[in-house]
Amino acid sequence: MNRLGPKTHLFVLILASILSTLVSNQLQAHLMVLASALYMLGNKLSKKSLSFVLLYIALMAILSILPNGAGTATIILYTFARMIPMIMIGMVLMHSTPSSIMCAFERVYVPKPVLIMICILIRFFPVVLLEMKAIRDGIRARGIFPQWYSALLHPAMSYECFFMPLIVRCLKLSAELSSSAELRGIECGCARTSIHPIEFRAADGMAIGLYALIGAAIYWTGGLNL
Amino acid sequence: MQTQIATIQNKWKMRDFITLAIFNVVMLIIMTICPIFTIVSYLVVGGAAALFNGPIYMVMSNKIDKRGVLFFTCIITGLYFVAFGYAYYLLTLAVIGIICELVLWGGDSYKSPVRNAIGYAIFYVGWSLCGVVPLIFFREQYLAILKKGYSPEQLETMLYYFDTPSMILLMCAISAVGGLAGCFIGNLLMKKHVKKAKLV
Repeated sequence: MNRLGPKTHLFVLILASILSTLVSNQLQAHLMVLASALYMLGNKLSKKSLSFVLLYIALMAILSILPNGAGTATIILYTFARMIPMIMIGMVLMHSTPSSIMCAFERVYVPKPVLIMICILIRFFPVVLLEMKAIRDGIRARGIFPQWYSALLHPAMSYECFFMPLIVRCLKLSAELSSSAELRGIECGCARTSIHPIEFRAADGMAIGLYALIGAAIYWTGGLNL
Repeated sequence: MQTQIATIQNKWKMRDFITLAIFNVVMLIIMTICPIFTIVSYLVVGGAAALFNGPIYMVMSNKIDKRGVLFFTCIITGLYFVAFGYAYYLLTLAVIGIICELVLWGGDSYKSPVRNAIGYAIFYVGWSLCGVVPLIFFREQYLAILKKGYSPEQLETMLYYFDTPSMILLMCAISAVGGLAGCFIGNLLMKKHVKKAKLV
């Protein structure tokens, strides 16, 4: 196993967001997506990285088709396209196990409540999306909105039908999760141990160095006005 | 004795942190989806997000019922946007969070629908102002950064919305109305479903 630690991912994420405020032309933005895709490949997330690159290409294609008068829609799509490199690296961070994240950041004295909140944020993004999908399936199975446009005909009812199950499910999830976490000793004051490698190794240093180098190279190409 | 009880009531447990985090995930997902409403107009994004998140916030606030709910929500939202490279969001939202907590200071405010609605509306006004605040304080640097990222026409459209006082006021008003309406609907839904099931 030669996985990079969560600290490395965070560092690269910070580097990427600094770089994204510095880049100025289209070529640099394309190269940034490429660099992030390479980082994802290095972390064995080849399928995800491919789908993100395809999404980026699709966005760029839509942007080039759209007429100049499209105004606000262009800006929103464009901003989203600019965020993709950060989302990709965030994805790598999301794929590392919560226990390794907690252990790694507890060593650098991040307060525990903050850490728990961040871990749950990372861990629950996919879960909540799944819940939303399950609620949609439930609505469909009960035949409440038989056609796709029926939800638009009764906005108040669809609002209630979608949000109430979601809220109740969240309440249940939080109760279950906190009981389970308390049972596993989350309130214990001792230092954590981890079965995942979390120390800062040569590979981590190399990954950060390489990304910084690529980032610097991308920034430098802007100076050449290619 | 009374102060002792108050401190015990206001001490955050792990349970509360977990509840806060889970509800915030839902709110963040909705906030991420809401920019779709720019198809209608830039001005309604804050209002739409506030309207959809209202019931979620109301249940969260009633469930946790401790000082700092809205402040931590602000901080988490800010941190989420920092990950996308918008560092100034965190600063703006931290200030807004403190103002919100001052509105909700003392009493049984986290259970009261009216005070919750006011605090929540302020939070969303602040969220809509996040694009405006850097234009007021560091205009030159911020414009320089924006010029790098966007083409001149795009920048002009953005500045029309974020730099005209009437547009800013309209945007804040829509967000505030969205926040108040969201909390009102949230309160109704909570009375109708959640309280009957004795989940809060």
